[in-house]
Amino acid sequence: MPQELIVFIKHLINGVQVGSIYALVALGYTMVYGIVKLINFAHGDFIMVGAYAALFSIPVLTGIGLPAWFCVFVAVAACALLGVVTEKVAYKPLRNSPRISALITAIAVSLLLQNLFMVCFTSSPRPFPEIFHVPDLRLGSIQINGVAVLTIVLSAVLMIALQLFVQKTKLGRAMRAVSEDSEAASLMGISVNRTISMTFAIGSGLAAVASVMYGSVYPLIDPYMGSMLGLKAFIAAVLGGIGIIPGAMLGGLVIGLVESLTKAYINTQLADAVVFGILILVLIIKPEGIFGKNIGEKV
Amino acid sequence: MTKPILKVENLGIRFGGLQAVDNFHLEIGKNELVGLIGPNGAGKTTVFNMLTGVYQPTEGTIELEGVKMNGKKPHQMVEAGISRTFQNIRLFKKMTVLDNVKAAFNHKMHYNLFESMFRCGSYWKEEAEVTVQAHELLQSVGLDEYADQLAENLPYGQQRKLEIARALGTGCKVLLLDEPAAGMNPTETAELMNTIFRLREEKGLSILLIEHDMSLVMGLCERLVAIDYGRIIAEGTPYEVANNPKVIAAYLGAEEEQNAESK
Repeated sequence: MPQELIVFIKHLINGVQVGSIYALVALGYTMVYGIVKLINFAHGDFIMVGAYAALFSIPVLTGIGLPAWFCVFVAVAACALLGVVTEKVAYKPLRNSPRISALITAIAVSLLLQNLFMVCFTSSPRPFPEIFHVPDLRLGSIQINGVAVLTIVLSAVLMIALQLFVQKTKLGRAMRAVSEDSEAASLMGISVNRTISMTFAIGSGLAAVASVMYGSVYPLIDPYMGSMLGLKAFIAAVLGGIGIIPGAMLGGLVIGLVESLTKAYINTQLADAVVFGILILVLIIKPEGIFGKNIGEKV
Repeated sequence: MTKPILKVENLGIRFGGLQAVDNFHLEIGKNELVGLIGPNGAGKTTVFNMLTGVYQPTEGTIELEGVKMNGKKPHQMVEAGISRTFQNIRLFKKMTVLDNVKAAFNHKMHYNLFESMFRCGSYWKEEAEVTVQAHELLQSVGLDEYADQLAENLPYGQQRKLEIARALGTGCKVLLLDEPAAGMNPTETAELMNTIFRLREEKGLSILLIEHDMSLVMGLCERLVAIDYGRIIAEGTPYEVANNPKVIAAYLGAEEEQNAESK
């Protein structure tokens, strides 16, 4: 196999790896948007909180004899709780206010989390330990990083599970019903508040998984790590069609691939510019996103 | 009349300076079909909104089987046994016909988040049971063949029937129908009324039906309550109500001056 092709395939795999992380984060944006019509700009910072929760739990977990990767569960629990509390405290009182109020509040929550963590844990980056010890995968002459394979497989499993959850369970039906018409849903016996809390919990939980996978690729965490990651995932959600779950998955992969290939073949420093350029293009050409308004399932 | 299922006394609601409904009372017995009539804007839907917990009445009481229901939220009203359809159809359009009905079963299903995620425990059993029951309900309104279609793709008349099937999915004792025949032609209306009659017998439902078209409720309801400007102006058998001068006036628009004063 020619060397260039091998390199190209490696870049593709990198792109898919980063893309799956974006997709996991984008799911949180899109689910929350689908159900309360709010862009939760604090979602990126939930990732940061998840990463810190994972980091601080590792010594405790290894101390009591558990493997370090159990920190994923700690991060998921911490983020789910944070998501639910944020919704109750900051967004729920504004549910009947103009959308712009809730949006500004979301930005405020984002700044609050960033600055709170900066005060508590300083702004200097902390190294994230290697927690997954996965052997590399060899396919012929191509060697694939084990963590990349793990990230891709884990994201795929989570996304399939989420899709089944939304389509096939009563809680998924409740989410779809509330996202279409919350008043009619409540008049059919669905508790709207509980459904919204659950959506925030699941979206934030996925962000927590993303945070640990992200820490395994870029092993430095700081209080601002969530803002750029969150923005890119947001672009992924818009690209796929905000509010549409399969759209977030596809959007994440596209953004990851574009970023990786730009870094590889054009210019490393242009990667972010290209990604944000995509946002502008999408908004001009097809603002409803790839999956548009009529295809796919809203949540 | 035997002991009423739904008993409403002295019900009133005020929006700012507007008394939308005042001193409304109503008793519905088991298996009874009562019509609530009145011209457009009389406050019929406002009464429904109070009975379903969308609005909290500012005065009066609502009792369901002797239990006071004031202050309950809509989903709690449903759990207690009151369900409704909507004047302007409000189905979950992007969901399948079957899922629309199954969504109404939600509050009776008990498997938890963990069991949903890992699809274990009572997940399969409950989902299967509810699917069967939802199909039965769809059959009873003649929609089972459309079960897998999106609700928005149904013809208008079928959407109205689906709303009824969905409301019944909650397992209600009292069904509130808000202008179920609005926008239907006479044939469709007659068929729908037959369906409503049959369902009432099969399920032992008590039904409160809103309609502003007098001719339609005349042949259907045992009892009518007529309201105008938020107050009861007549009640009794359809014949009595239809011949009540106040009702005739409200429908024909006479006594404009008196109405203007009472506003």
